[in-house]
Amino acid sequence: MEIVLLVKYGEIMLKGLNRPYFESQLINNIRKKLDGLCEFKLKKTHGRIFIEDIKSDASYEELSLKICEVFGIISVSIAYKIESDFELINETALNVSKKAYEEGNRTFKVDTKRANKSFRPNSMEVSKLIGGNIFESFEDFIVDVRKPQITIKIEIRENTYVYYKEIKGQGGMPVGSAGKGILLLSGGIDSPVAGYMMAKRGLKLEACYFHSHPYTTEQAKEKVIDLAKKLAIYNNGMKVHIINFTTTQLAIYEKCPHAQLTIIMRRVMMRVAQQLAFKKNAKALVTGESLGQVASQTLESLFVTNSSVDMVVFRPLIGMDKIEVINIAKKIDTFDTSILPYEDCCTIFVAKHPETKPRIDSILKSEENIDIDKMVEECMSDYETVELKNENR
Amino acid sequence: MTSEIYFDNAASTKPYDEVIIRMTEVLKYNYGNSLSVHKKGLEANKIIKSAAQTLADILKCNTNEIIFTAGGTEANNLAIKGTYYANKGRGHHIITSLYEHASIMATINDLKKDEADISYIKIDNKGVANINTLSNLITEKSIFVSLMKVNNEVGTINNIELASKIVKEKNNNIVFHTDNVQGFCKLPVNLNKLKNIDLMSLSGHKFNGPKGVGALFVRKGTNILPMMNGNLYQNHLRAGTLNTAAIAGLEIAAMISNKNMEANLKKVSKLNKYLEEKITKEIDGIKILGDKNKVPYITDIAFINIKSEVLLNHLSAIDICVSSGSACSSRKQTYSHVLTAMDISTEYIDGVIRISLSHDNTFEEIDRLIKEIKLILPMLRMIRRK
Repeated sequence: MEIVLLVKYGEIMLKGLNRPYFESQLINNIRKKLDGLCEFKLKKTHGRIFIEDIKSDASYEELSLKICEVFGIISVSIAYKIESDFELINETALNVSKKAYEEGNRTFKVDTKRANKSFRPNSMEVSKLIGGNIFESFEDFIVDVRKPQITIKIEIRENTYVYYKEIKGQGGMPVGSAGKGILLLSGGIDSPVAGYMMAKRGLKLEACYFHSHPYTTEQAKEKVIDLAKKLAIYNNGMKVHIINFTTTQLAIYEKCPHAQLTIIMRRVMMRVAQQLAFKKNAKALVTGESLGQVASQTLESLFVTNSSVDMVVFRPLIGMDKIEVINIAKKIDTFDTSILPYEDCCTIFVAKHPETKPRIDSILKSEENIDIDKMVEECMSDYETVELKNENR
Repeated sequence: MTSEIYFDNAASTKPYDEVIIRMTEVLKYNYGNSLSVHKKGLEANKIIKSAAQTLADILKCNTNEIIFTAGGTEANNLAIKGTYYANKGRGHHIITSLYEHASIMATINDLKKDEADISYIKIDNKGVANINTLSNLITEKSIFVSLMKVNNEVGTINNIELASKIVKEKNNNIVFHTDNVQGFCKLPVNLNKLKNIDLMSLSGHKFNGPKGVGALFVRKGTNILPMMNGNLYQNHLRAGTLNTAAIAGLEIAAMISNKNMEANLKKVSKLNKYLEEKITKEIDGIKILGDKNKVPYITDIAFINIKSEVLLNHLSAIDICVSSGSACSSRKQTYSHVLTAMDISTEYIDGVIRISLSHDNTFEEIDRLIKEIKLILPMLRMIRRK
């Protein structure tokens, strides 16, 4: 008898001919996640991945939780792997039930799956026989097929796997399977959440952050890196490109109307991010914008910002309330870092009364005073990249 | 590559080499608990006693009037809470100034929950506490007065001798405390003469000693209670094993700083005079804040129409460390309570930089500071929120 981790994956199963592509991406991501944590062998069958021959200092629960950080996974179970022999299955199921019983559960059912169709008795009979044995072995442990407190699962394949607990994964698609995107990461609450949500859909992220020394502090930069570290857990590591934005920002400040500073600055940032995407072979931009949240996120502002680039821009928070965003930020542990007070320094570059309904023709006219192509070029020649590893928490 | 310039000595100082050597030695060899009765304990106890003796010699008091703490903040907490709870049977009135260190302000404020009634000594626009009004603030219910000797943000000096005399003449039962964290080993103190001072706080890392260690002078006979629970030592005023190495480091720092006090003061006065004169001459739109009567160690300079934080960030990137007198962010604007108390005009209050010198600084460093500020200032002044 051996203890293994049984990983179930979901949406990928619905794929057709390209399913192996997603599966191999998922397997790669699991391998990277466990790298350095344990020695193991990985086996894949239909809809299941088995982590076997585990040698690790970490407990099975800890390893399961780590694996659950990988997108694309429905659940991880700690399972007993045995030979496909009815007596052995019965004995193991009784052992497993004993644990569940001792944990205080009083209703159960047995659910048998039989991929190995030559095995006898058949699935229904296995459930019935073993269910009966469990019922007789414990006092006050009764069968409830509709809403049992626990389900003893028996999967009969070449070997048989018996388990009853499932640690829920996060679903989604394996990071990298959807290609690469550039996340515009600020120090706020929204952008890390936006990154998390797109990584969940399989987008491998690289982040870009606009640094305006001396108008933004070193602490603000450190904070962004700390946020990126948290995202790196889900994103298989993370590259953060820190773009020196001071010269550009000062030029916009000098030459454009003040009520339009924020919107023009955002347009330029989008242009720079798009250029970075071209360079990094990324095919999308990701922002944390949410409709109507602030002046720069009114429908008019979003239209004007959006029209600065041709590339697809993902705004996964667009229809979410702040409180919903905060809840995710707390779940992924970015919230406490996001609310640290190292804001972009002062209020110098924020107009007292920014335009909330900018018009594209008026913005384009203002932009005639600056050379955006040159700004983009300058930004692209003046950035540093910090590479964050997928660190174990 | 130019070297690092450190102008933030009011925040913390660089420990003397002798301090580091001594602390390493004590950590390595004198690891016993100073309260243990065996040989290792006695060794440690000897170190503590020697440090207490050194401080007592400098302050002109008795060794059993020195209580070691984990820094200035703890010393101030002990002084305030310890006195308040020991004396609140007589009244709940506390007097302090409007520009004390946060460890005083917050601690006194916290006592409001236990019915404390607080009066504040106003600060004049030179940054000096108006002690003439002190007499009027004292009531029959007053039990405690705390007034700092040297202000940490502007460096102005309060006449503690006079203040404590006014207090005691009006009501001899009032306990008088002074936070001398910025003044110790910079200005001479003779507690044998300053009989009206009951409590005085000091902190190791402000005079080239280690962080995390300080002391409270508690004059014999002062009615005060301990603030931490545990096995009480040090005249039953503080619980907790003593930090032998840090206390040994503090002793060495105090010895050296005290020995060189006059020479340091002379040197830093020259540096400060040079700084103030040169910067006033070469840069427009600035104000040196504070009274003429201030320590030369601290100079607050207010620049018109800039955000001090931006100047600080710029200087930091070129390895010059100063501190800013105000903090601001896009969310909220908060000004230092010291500057607010001093009533600085709005064009200046955003742009206050604190230069705090030590005897280690040089004229060349000041030249470089002024040169760099001169270079960046026109740009910073051009960029303002519109």
